[in-house]
Amino acid sequence: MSTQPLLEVRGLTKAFGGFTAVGGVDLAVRPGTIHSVIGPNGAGKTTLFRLLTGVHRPTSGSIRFGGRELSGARPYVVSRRGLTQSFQITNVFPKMTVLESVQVAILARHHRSWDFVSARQDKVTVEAMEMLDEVGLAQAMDAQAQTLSHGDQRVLEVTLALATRPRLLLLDEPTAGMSPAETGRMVDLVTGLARARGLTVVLSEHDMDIVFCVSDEVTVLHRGRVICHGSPAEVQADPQVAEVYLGGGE
Amino acid sequence: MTTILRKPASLRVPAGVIALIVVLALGPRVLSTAALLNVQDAVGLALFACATNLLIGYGGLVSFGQGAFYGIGAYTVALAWMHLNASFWVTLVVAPVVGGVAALAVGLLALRTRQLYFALLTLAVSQLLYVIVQQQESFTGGADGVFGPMLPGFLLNPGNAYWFTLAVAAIGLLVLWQITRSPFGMTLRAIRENRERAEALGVNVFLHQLLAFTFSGFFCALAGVLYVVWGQSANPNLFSWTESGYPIFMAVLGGQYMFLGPALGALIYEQARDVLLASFSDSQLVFGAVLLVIILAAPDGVAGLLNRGRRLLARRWPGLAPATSRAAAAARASGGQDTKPDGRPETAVR
Amino acid sequence: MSHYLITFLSALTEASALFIAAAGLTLVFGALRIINIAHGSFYAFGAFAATTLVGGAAGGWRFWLALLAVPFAVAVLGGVTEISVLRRVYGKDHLAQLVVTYALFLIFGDIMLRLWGSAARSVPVPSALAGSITLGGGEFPVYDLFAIGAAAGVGLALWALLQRTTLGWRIRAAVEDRELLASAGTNVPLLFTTVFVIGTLLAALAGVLAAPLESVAPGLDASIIISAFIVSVIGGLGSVAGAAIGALVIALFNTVGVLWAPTWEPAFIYLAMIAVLALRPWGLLGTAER
Repeated sequence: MSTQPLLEVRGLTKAFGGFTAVGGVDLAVRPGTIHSVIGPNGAGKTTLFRLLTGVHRPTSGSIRFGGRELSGARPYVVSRRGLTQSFQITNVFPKMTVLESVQVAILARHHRSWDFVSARQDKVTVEAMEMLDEVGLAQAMDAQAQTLSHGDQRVLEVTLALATRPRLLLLDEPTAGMSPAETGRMVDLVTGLARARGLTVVLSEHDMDIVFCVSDEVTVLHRGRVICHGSPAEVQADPQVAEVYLGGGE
Repeated sequence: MTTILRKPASLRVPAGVIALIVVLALGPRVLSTAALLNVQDAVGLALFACATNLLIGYGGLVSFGQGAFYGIGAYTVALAWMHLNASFWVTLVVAPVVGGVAALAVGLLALRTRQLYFALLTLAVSQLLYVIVQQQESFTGGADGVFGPMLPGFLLNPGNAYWFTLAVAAIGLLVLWQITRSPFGMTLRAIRENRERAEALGVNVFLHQLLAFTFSGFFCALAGVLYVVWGQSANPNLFSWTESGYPIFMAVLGGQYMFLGPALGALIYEQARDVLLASFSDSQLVFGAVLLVIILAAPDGVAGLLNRGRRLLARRWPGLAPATSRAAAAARASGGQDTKPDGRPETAVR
Repeated sequence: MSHYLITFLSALTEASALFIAAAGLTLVFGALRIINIAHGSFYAFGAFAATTLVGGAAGGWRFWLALLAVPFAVAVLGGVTEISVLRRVYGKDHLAQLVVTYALFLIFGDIMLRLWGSAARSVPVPSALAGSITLGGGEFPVYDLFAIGAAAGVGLALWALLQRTTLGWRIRAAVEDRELLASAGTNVPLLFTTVFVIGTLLAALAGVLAAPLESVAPGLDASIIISAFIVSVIGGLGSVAGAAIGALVIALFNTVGVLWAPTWEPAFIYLAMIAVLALRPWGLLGTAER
């Protein structure tokens, strides 16, 4: 397996006026791994993710994905290159059915969102159904997304992201607000997918148990800067991390 | 899997539409010329409203300026006759294209702004044209508009005009319908539901909306041509923002989430307007009140209400239910579990 | 020289009522994020009510009564409208908001038609302000000067309100930084109602003020709302100072443009509005959208 990082971030900085949300962040994510980014509230995790997906333009620094420079690209371009995010606040299509939502994602991937001359193809329907079967949402296929339970919506959320067949999946606090049962289901889903499809996953999380149980590598952010990164064991043992995050205050 | 039980997308036409077609076809036999003209007007407005709804209901873009393209369609016919003595059959084809191109130009400018500003910008474009057409009297006939024998003899016969309008509107609506049920249409709806999410899935939102805007301009202009067939004239009021309010009103009244909703709104508007004018001497109050009630209490419009009523009745008489939900109900009844094609029940994933 | 002065003062007069009306519109948009099409209706209500109150009596005291009483009466209408109708559409999609205010516009327009008919009406200038004075060699109506002074007064009052009072601070917070507002424990629904009432009051005041200057007829609501939109957009939605600049710019455009390029003149202001919306939607002094 190639050890060339799939995602390479160097000196990434984003300043809003006088406030530096992300300052000189370096990150290297190897393909097929699960990489966690942790840090207290306001550490810059969300801003970092927004920089990666193109919602924000970096003030300076570079983002290389699959060997190509990605910083400053618009979100839909980033998505097409294979970097997809699943959102912290559930971000689905409220009035569309579960099946339709997945179909849209697949159509976009096939560049068929432009097709205005044919009726929806069964081919896309079949693929969509397969995905829904895999994640356990097949029975809800005709339900409007907004009628689903919170946990199901999160699963749909992740499914949409997966439907674009990303090479790297960004998960921003995927288990936020979930019950323990739902959390377990989500964790299994993500790790299963990562292992089964060789998907690279970068996630930000608050739940430390999940982080240390699931991750191959951990990066710790504090006030927009990286204070530590390495294997879960290394990070847990790092005194700076303990002071800033695990033991002390924010 | 339930996929097997899904019918392939086919042209299942709802019974209501068939009934409507029959009724409309009987028109010339039963109605007076005046009434015929009314229906003709309504049909043209139906096209205008449905074309506008491609933006509002499907695209989530509130344009307060579709009157601009309606007027462009009408004036292309009128001015081509006035200055070039062009044949109507030629301008019939040219006018929608002009509308589409104009929409493309406006869209390039307007679609980069946020929602609220978009409404104001389209309103401004509409008013701009209104003002220019009024001022440039020598070219456009000014505030009085353009009158004259701009229609070919064939269309001067009320029956012919009626059939022609019906045919053109039907074709226009059919194409619009196809657009809404295509992958493009579904993507458009997704953009309406959640713009950022669509963008994050790889959809170039700006270009999709631009295409929708262009289509809408094209068909609004076609509706403008039908206006000329009905009124044998063109006037600057077609461009004003108050005129642009009508298709929005019809779409909301009839129902913005169903394709023919705005057409229903147009028909209701047309009939109600005459009745109200006779008894109240003015209709704005009623229209405003109805609009208010609908948008606050029944946002999916009359069509939505009818649909809900139908579903309620369907619990008592299952035969009334829409076809797709009957298929789904049958699927659920026949297993209780998802089954694979070879009959083995599928265990729930993890 | 006097010719330019008179022209400039004429533009100022035109800008006066327009500024007051636009200030109301822009505050409502900035704080509530609603484009209130019915704002024009409130203006027209003010003007029409003035014609009834003042009647044909050129005496004058009635005009002062109208100037004081009518805006408050219409403001009550505005408050009732906000509480009963508009509150239901906050947070809904833009279509709902636009359609609601458009529906109100239709309803109010019809009510005005029934109450006041379709003939044009006028309000005579109060005798205390009748006549004209000589300025720099030319004649200028006293009432017009009054209008300019009134607008300046309103502008000052609004500035004081926004900069020096708690309510003003809250309004500015609603315009510029909503999260700040919520965290300060403000009763937001009450604030919204207050802002809307202020906006309505300004609209009606502008209507009364403008009544002796122009003919009051159906269609006034549609024309003023367009002008107010243009002014608000150019000045910046949410900015009162912007409304002042915008009103002056538009009035100058109208006055001067009519002299220089009469056929194209009405188009200029729409082009300006389109340009601003396309290139810098928050106008001259508005808050850049987040």
